[in-house]
Amino acid sequence: MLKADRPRGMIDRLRRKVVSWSIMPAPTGPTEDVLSKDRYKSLRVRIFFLICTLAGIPIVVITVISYGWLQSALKEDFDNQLKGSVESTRQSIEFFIEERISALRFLASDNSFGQLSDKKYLNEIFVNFKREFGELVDLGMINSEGVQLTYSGPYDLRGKNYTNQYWFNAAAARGVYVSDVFMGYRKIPHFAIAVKKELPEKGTFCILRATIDMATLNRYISTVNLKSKDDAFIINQDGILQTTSRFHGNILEKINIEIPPTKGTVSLNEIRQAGRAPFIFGLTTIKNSPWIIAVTVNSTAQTKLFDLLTSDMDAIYLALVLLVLGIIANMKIAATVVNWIRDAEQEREEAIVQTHHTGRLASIGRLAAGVAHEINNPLAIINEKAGLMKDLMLMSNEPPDKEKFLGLIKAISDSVNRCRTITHRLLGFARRMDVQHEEIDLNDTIGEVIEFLDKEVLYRNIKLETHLQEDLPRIISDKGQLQQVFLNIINNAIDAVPDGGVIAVSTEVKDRERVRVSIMDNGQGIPKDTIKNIFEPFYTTKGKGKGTGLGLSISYGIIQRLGGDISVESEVGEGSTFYVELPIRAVGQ
Amino acid sequence: MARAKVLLVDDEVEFASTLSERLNIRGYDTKAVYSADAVLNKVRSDIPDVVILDLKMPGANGLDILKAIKQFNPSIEVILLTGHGSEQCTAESESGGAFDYMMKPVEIDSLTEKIEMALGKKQK
Amino acid sequence: MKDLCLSFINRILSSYVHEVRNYLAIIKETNGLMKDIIQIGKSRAVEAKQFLGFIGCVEDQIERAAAITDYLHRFAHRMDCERAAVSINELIEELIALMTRLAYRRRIAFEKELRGGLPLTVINPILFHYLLFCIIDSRLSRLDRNGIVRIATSFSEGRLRINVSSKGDVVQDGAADLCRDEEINGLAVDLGAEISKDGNDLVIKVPVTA
Repeated sequence: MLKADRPRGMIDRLRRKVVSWSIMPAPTGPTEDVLSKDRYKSLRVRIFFLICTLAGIPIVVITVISYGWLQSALKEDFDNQLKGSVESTRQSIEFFIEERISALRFLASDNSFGQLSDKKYLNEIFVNFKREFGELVDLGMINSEGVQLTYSGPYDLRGKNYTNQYWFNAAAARGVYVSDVFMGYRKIPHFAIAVKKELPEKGTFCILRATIDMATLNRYISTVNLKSKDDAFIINQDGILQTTSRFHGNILEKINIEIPPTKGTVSLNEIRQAGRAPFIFGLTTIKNSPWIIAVTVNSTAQTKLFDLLTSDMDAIYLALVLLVLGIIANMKIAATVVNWIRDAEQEREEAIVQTHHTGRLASIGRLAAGVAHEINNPLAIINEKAGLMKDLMLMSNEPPDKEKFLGLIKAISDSVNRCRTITHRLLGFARRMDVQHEEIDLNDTIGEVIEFLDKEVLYRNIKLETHLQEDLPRIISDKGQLQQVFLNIINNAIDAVPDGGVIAVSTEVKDRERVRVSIMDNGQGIPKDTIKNIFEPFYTTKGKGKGTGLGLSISYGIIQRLGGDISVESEVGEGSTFYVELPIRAVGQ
Repeated sequence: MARAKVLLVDDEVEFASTLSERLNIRGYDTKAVYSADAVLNKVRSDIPDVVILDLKMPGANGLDILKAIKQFNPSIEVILLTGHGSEQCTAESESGGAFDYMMKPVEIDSLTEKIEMALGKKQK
Repeated sequence: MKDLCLSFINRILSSYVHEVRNYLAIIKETNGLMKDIIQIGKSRAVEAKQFLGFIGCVEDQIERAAAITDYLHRFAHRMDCERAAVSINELIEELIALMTRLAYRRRIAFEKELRGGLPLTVINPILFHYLLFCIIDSRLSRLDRNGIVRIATSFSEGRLRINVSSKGDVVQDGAADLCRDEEINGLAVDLGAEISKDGNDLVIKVPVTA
């Protein structure tokens, strides 16, 4: 036997769970009003958060991605700009140094040792050189012993011995030497370029040395495009400042930053130091010099972006306004969606109520028509009896017999009583349409329904048995609606059984709280794939135009509202049994 | 002259027996049967001139009985009795070969008039 | 409104039952009287003339009972479907027949002037019954004894007209209506009909296809 309540497959249960959580809080009982305000309020809140989440997640994701992309793009742009600026400055400085070295080399090669040893001549050269290269501080020629033979400049350095000085030996070895910065006698930072002049005729050499003011290099450094918190300076390989620094110390002081290995190109390194915000340390070596151009950048692209965004308060206000508008719009959308759902549910409820009403009218109509049919029979009998009386008096040759007449009169009386019974039943039914809940005898209720169907059952030779538990407790319920349900189920059974079939109706106590009515038939049965749908509205197995498929779904709804349950067991070819369980006390009592 | 044979078929015994008696008073040879099973046997044995047949009887469709009578002997005229008239009734009775139909309660004079018309048709 | 509709059907069915019961009661009493006369009478034969009168009475009641049962049958079948092609005159006849007892209790009579040859209309028959019932019931509740409720039908401007009027004294504190004006108007809208007042008359206009 196949058992089927309302369809409750696993997938169906899961679907209902998801729908009920995400969409509509289900009513908590059969009598709860499905259209209650609380349910819609809860739904509005859920939809609002759902929209916020669904709309918010992509917005947040896009914002995060865009911010990150923008940051990285800005950073790249920033880095490139920085690198470009530093590179440009490096090139300028390198060109500057190269130019000075070339000039000195030219001087060295173009003039003889003797000329360079002549003070007056050297002075002339110095004046011309200075005219061309304004930052020249002095010019001197040192012999291979390291003694300054001639000097042109603000100091008196003639005769000074540089034999043990690094620069002299470096210049002698390499042919050219650019020195670190040093403070001159007037505490002005200078650097020196020394070039070697070979004296092959003497088998020796001399060194031509120029001291150059750092002012030009400082100017070059200041062209690096920086913000107020950033810094650019020149250091040597030991990290000693060669030019002024805003934040990292004075000239010839060591900077407090570890110098990472330098490459030929500008490298940008993120430096983290305790007690200090991370910063970018960019550096590159300057060719033909002991120097490194360094930049420290605190205003990163991230900061720049944040500054960019927060600097424009109008944008912030606009964003806040849009956020508030968005929230309001979401609330409106949630309210609108809930209104649509509520309207749809209301329409559905109204449609169901309407179809229920129509179904009820149809069943009332059938009953009333049945009564009209039934009453005609006893009326016809009375008619014939009375007619016979008349005939006997008018047409018979003999005077009518008293006994005969008494018999006819009795027959009339019996028929009148029969009419009265039928009309009494109709009146009871009519009155019951108004009553909602009352204490009823279920056996009597079923008995009345069976009486209504007597004729039809007789006409088709169907055996309608009743096994009604005698001491069945009275229940509190709606008699009219119950009769509609039993009428529907028994009518279905009548349709299902062949002529001469059997329908058995029984009542019993199921447990302390419920009674059960079983309606069994030996009809065609209900196939497996049909049985799960039979309580659905508009599902019918009858041919087109024969049934609307409303009966069982309406019956299901009625019994549910009365706090009971309907189920069916069926086997194809053997028959079906419908079980109607009802509470002994009405819901809420 | 031989009286016309009328067979009355209705499951309401009181009705059928009384109407039968009334028709006899009016000169017809009327018999009554009260179940669908007995109809065809009675028709075969008595061969009535007119059958007055109730449409709704337990265990039988009046139109099926009508068809069976007409198949057995098309000259037997059948007048159908029904609780309520309708277009469907008219159509069904005509298509089944019934002579006419009448509504209960029956007006005896109208019934005898219809019986006479049926007999007249039969003689033709 | 649906409960009121059921209430209306309840009243119609009750009215029918009471009507039929009256006929049955007369049959029963007449029958009983015949029995008494036979039992009391000394001769074996029955007094023909007297009894013919009784029987005639019984036959009259049967005819009335059969007629009203026929109306019940028609009324019952109006609930079969929500839309049907119907004759307005037939609907009115049914309703008046079934409301006769309700009117009779108040000693009010019906008059009909139903023009023949009216076209059929496609409407919800039971809803029309209900609407007309509400209107007639409201008249019944306001009329004093010996009043008359008159229903006339006609066809003009492509629409069927049902004119409900009344004659007689009006009772100020008459019984409450089954339907209020808003309900009557609502019913008319559902039916696709129009209700208007023409003096003291109420006119229902029903299109041929609503």
